[in-house]
Amino acid sequence: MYFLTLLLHYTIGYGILKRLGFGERCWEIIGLAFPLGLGSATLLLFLLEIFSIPLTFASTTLLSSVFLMLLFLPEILRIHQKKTWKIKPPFASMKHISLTEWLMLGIIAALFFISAWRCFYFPVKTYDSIVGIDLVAKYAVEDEQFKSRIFSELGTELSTQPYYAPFAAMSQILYLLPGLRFGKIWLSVMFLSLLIIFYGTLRKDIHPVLAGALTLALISIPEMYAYTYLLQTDFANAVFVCISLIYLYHFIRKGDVKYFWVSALLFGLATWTRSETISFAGLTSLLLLVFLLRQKRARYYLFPIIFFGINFMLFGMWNLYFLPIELGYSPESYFKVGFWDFERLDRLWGGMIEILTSSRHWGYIPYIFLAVCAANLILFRDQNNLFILLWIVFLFLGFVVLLYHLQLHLDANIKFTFRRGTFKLWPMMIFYIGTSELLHRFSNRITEWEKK
Amino acid sequence: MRHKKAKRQKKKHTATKNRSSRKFATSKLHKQIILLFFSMGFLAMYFSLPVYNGWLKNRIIKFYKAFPTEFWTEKSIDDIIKDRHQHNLKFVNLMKENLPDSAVVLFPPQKYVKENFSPGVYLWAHSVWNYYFSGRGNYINYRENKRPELSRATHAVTIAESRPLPARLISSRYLPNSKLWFGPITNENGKMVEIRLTQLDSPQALESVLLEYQKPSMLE
Repeated sequence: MYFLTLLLHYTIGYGILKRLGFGERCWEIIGLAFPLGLGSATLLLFLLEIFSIPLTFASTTLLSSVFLMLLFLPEILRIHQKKTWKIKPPFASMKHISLTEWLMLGIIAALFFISAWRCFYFPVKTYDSIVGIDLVAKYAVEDEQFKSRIFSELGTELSTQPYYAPFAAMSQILYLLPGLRFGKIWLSVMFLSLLIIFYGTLRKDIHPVLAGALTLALISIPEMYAYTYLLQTDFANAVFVCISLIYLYHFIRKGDVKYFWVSALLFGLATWTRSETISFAGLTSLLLLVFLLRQKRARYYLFPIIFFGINFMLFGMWNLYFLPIELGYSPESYFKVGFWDFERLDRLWGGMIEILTSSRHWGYIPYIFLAVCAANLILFRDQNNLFILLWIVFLFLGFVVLLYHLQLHLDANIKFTFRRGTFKLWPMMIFYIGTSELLHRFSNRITEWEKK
Repeated sequence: MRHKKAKRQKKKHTATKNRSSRKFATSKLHKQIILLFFSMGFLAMYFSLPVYNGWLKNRIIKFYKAFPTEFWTEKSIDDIIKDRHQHNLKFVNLMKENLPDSAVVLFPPQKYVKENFSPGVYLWAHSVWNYYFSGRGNYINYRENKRPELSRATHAVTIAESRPLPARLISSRYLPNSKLWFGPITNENGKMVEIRLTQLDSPQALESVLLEYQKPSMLE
């Protein structure tokens, strides 16, 4: 049954992409469909909860199917015209996959396999999930409602974890309902989506060997790899944010509106996964506005507001409506603003730098990124991917401001919240390397040498 | 005559084309092989770097080795869960099986469990963790700011270094009304420890438990 659920989510995602005007490249559809489809399915589940309809396999599947039919309504109405859908099969543009590319893809697949197997086979292990996401999901499935008995029976025993933004818990519910033993296989499919989009996007611009090497660098980030099978909100959040930024980057470069919409929807879903993402949505909107002003594209000046609006709507549904009104919980009590504490800032900054430069966690990515960044800015004065670079800097500074004001245990904030929050940074750092002038020149050299 | 000349020229042209394309194909294959070897070298170098080497051994190869055993052995879901959580789950089940439904158990701070019992096996002493596995809500976590709530507790968990009887009598760490609940076992610090369950039949008993939770680690 969970294959049916998986297929349903893929098809919903495909329907959304079709309505947005995507449909040429198959790898792009495969990569984008699942995050969009699963995200939409969790929103539908939220709708069921609001209208107090029991959360069962039948009710969730039925509502998803109705939504799917609505998405494909134009095609259903035009069915008599026998129009064929034009989709290029995967790798259609790649007439030839070389031996080297097969080698790289093989290694990536082998590394992915272990992650997917561990995700499928082993139970939820992380403490935060057992007292949070999975606890909520487990008892929501038993009680057929998200607001299950845990909220009344455990009361003050609960910490912040069960109140995290609901995407991960709802995804768990959606995959526990059809009888999947530990639910979390959706996490592996999200991981696969990130790999497909990441590799496919880089493969369009640079030599396949380099695209493969960079994807390998992404998959083999030790700390991040662990969270591709350990249930937490952070990895799913990183997948949404990174794919969203890749498409926002496309929008800034090419001006195609469909890229903007897919990016805004995915960033919104990232906020639906971790609430603090709303602050990064604000920063991203600001950055988008700056780039639109720089390019003098006046007809898109409203887009940053739309981008933030989508994020704020999803943030509000959870944090301004469901938590305070339905669950009687106020998350803002953890924030304190308008104070100055140099010692706190110093400790925070030192701790964050220590985490960022830890090769045990991130391999050598931070150092390679800094080197490429220096070469790119000093030697080539490359501004093509300035958006990505500024976003990385903004994210780091955003975390400084956020954690400074968050009144939970500072060391725990650095060690856990920031460490896992940086999952958004690493794929973007590697993407920056992949889109840099330095790598493009190197890629051109290889291609020219091959053609000679 | 003209026809013959054209035919000859065409033949010559085809031959040249064939020769050059063969040459191109050969050189391309040659370059592909070079690139393949270069990539293999890159991969070998990449995975010999200390961080990636350790990661590959501990996170990938180890699980490729475990995969056939895990895959072909038909383990029940319960067994998989037990293997995964081991003692943390064992304690939850012990607690559920041996205490009456009316019992409300007070758990010590996690720092106390880590320092006195085991830095690796401490999750069992958490009310929500117990709820997740047992579905019972009658557990309380110790927190300084919720003292009034603690009076609901009928039992409290404490940890003591395992000692022979005469030494116990003079030790302040063995609380009255407490009985052995689990152990003795050798913990990760090489000390013999036991988990004890104290019945909280008076406010004084609760106070002495709360005092015990503040005491420094006895195992250092």
